Amino acid sequence: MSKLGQAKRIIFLKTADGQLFEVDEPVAMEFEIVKSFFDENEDAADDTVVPLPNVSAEPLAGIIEFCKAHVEFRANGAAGKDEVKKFNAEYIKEKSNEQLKELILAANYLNIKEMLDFLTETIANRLKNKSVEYVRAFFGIENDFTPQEEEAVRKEYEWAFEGVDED
Amino acid sequence: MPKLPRDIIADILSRVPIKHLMQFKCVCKDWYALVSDPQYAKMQLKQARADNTTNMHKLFLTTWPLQSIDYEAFGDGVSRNLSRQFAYPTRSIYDAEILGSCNGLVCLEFDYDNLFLLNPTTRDSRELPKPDSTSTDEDSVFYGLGYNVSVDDYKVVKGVISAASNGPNSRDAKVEVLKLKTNTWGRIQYPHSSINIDGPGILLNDTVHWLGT
Repeated sequence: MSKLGQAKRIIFLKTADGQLFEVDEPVAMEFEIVKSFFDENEDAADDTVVPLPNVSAEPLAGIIEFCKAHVEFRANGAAGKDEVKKFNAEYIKEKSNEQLKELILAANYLNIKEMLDFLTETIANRLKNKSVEYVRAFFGIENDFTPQEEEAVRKEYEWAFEGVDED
Repeated sequence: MPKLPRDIIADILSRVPIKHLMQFKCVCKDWYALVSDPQYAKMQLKQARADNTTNMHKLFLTTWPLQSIDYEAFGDGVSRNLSRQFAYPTRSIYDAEILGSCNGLVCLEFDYDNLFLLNPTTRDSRELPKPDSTSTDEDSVFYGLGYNVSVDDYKVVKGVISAASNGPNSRDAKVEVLKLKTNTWGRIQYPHSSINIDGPGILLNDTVHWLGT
């Protein structure tokens, strides 16, 4: 990979919807899938374009933003500090549930452990105190219980239904 | 609308507090199976241990009804989270006795030989078979609940050292171990016939300890 004194290496990534991204090497190497691509193709030319057929441009842009910030945090020794928490909180604040799901699918495909951890935690937090109906809608799940079966399960865990938020 | 794969859903659910999770059992049949899976309980336990903001310790009282108290929640003003109550799982003349607790499970004894395993978090309980040995008030009785990682099973130990033993070096002890997976009691040798032990064991570093006299 990049040798000392050389200019910063840029990695080219191409999304499913045909957009080309130019990403700094340390950021692109956060994606396990990109890293193994270059590990397996050691003599790949510098201008090799890595195809990402399962990711579209919008979530990829979001992922690059997240990983870029976290690579910098680590370089500055800020990992685990308040400014990271602040960044993470800002990062998800404006994201809709749909965007979060797109991000988690993309992070899963690209295999970015740290981000995947953060996103699953975020979704778990959004589901706390939510009704069963909300959760079904969130995940796009169809209820396959008969009304009687559902009633029986609800009765079994009646105590768990106190204090659920309004949808 | 994107759908998430099952392993990601399982990961998300393992981070949701149990109370909310129990409701999510009614989302669909697949989730019911997922949340009821013992593998899932292990994942949840691992997540809870990794998350140092969760207080892993609670007080369990053998009052009537039984109570579990989250003593670290004191003073946060959410009183309904402080204490949870549990009905006795069986008719009992005497107070319940705690035989041991391990990984959030509590083993309880009612009226001397009715044993139950309770998960105060999910409120699930299960009656255990009765051990063979009986005891009188004069006998030394020791007991404990532990988890054996290598075979992934919980075990309940109950030992009775007869008060009518012949001398301090030949104690008449009967020790039984219940393996939860097979749900059967088996007898083991009492290893230290020169030592007397009595009462509940202390679970420390995955091993049950008793103080001998």
